[in-house]
Amino acid sequence: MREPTVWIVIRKDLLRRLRSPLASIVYLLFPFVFSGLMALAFGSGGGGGIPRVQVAIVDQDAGIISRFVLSVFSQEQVSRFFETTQTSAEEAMELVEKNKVAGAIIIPKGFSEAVLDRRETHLKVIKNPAQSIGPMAIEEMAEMIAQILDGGAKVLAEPLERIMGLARGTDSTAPRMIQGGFPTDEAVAEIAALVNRTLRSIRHFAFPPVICLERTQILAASQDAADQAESAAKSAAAGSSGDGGEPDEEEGTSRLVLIFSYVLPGMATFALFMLALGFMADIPRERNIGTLARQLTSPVHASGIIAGKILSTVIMGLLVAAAMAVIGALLLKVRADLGAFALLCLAFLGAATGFLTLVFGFARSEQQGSTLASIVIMVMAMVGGSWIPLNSLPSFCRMLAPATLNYWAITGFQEIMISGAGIVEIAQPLAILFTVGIVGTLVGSWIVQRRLMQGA
Amino acid sequence: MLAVRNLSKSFGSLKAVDNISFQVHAGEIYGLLGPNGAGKTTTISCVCGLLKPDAGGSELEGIDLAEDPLAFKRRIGVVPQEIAIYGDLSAQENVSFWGQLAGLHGRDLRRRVEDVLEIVGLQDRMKDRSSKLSGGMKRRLNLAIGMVHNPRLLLLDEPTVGIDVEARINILKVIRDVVKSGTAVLYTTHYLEEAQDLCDRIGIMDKSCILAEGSLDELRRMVGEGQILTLRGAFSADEFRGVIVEDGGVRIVTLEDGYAMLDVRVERGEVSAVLGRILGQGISVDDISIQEPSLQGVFLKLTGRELSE
Repeated sequence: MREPTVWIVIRKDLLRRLRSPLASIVYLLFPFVFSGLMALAFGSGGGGGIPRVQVAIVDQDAGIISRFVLSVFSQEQVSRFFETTQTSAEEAMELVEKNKVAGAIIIPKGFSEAVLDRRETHLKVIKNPAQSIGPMAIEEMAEMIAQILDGGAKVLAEPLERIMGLARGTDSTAPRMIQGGFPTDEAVAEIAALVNRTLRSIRHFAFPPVICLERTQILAASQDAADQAESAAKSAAAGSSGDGGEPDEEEGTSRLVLIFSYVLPGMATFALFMLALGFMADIPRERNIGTLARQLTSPVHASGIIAGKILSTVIMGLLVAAAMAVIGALLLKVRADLGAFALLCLAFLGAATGFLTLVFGFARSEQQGSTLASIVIMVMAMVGGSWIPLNSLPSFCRMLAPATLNYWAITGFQEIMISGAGIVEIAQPLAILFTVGIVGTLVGSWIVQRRLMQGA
Repeated sequence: MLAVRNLSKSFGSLKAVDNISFQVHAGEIYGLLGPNGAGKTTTISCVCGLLKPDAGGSELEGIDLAEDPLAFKRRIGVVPQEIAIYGDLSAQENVSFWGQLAGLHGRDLRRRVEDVLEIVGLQDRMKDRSSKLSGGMKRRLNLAIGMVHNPRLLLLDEPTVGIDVEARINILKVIRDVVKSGTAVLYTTHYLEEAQDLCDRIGIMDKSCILAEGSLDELRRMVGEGQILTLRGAFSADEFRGVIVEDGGVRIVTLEDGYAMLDVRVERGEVSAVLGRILGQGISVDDISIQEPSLQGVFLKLTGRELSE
């Protein structure tokens, strides 16, 4: 019994693809390499994260307030962003000139006394002109410290005056309150009571704060799974070694995974579109070398040949998507609905090949078709959120995005990967992509057949 | 077997084939001879169903192409002018693919693929990638693909273009062998010798029309049995015209300073007399060539110009 033409053509094209697998491998690996680079660049995983700002601190004061300033930089929240080097003024200048630090903060001599006396003083910031963001961060940080000190000095004026009076011996009670160079218990209690009274007077403003910053991190299905897996691994490790693990590393890995999950769908969509372009360009390529015309002299329907060409592209795309899914699952530990994922891949590849059939139907040559299709794919990738997340794009791009195939595919993939959506939840992207695929394929195939029979 | 009737095809304002008709019989090689652009490939494309003619049609063993294209195509094998093969598939896979499209499968397909590759002499290279084959081998593979399903009519569009003499001889031998089994062949070429040596009947095509058709002898008779006498030397056209008087035995085909081509009737033994007259009148001739009655002569007489190789 005669085999269906579609199957004969599919088998032939798949065999050809397997003989020259380089293009498929490149399309397969591209999204992972690119997404991985993005995740490493912008996540804090991989032992890297955002590089810390190098700052030199010159403490010429060596007083109680300058030690407070130094202690600010050793706080965990601050030390994640700043790396300090305590040095002299000359060395600090040298470090700036050699571009070793983004800037320097100089705490001048008499700084502590001036702050405690509530006299005007200066916290000097030297910025490295060779850098852009680091010096700005140092300036912001120094300004924040100055404001805290200024506010503190004003609010705690009374206790500070008492302390300074006792320390300098100008206070009439100093001989009684200071014995052997140290404050007596009575002096400490009195100052503590003063501080307490001051703080009580401002409690409505300070406790609790008027504005609270609420930080929420959306946990992706993939990240959730990754976290669970990592927690389990760490628990196991803790159980055996008594070590509780390192929270920073865990957080970094989760962030890496999260960025990967956001970037990967866009890159994968772009790669699958380019793969479809490479394979569908076979229509004009075969028209040029005469194999397409020769097939049409065989006792088969032209529609079978074109359908075979389209389906072989879709199958090849599905194979690459499946390989992407396996690699993605291993890397991200995605807990996704496989049925929804497969259906969305099919819908997107159908839409992409349908669209490309239409383009190559109208194109007069392979070069013309490929150029036109490449431009449209690039624009769709840009506007549709393949390269840059949609929420980072200008508003007019976000407005145009729904007109692209990438947008619907990315929306669907992110729903599946991040929110754990199933087929029902991604019904809209599926319906739109399948519609584009069917219409594009039918119209495109008709045009291709018509042009072939006209000898074009 | 094949009857082409009143076939016409235009591309916009360009008339590629203009109302041509011919027949090809079983076991016969019918040659369409003509220069590039004469309409040969368009004719083949219409006959194999690749192009839809504006008028007229083709019928093979009683099957009309327009009415039952699949039945018609099942009976034909096409060997296009370009080498239409997949370079990334082996010779065997190429032939097998087209065999499957033609309806072969299973053991029958495997046997035919092996047979046809043996016929064209590629059995030792059947597993090699087609892109690795030489130009001549690719041409033979191109031919094998057209023959894999044992077609009743083989359409060959300039199958020997751009290959060396040995490969050409091989291909022509294969075609002769195929015809012995009763297959009809429609063969287009612009090589005079090829048409002369290979074809049983020839249709001379020029400017979209068939000017004349028949066997070589019939064509010769149609245009006369004259020999072509070509002379080159240091003479002027006027000087030459004064010596030669055109009559029933001699006709000037081309005449310019230093070059003259004459059609001289053989049966009247005029060649030596004409030569004697020219040389006797002191015309300075450096080179003389006498061409026996041939297709070149026929083409020349029909079109008024030579068919360049």
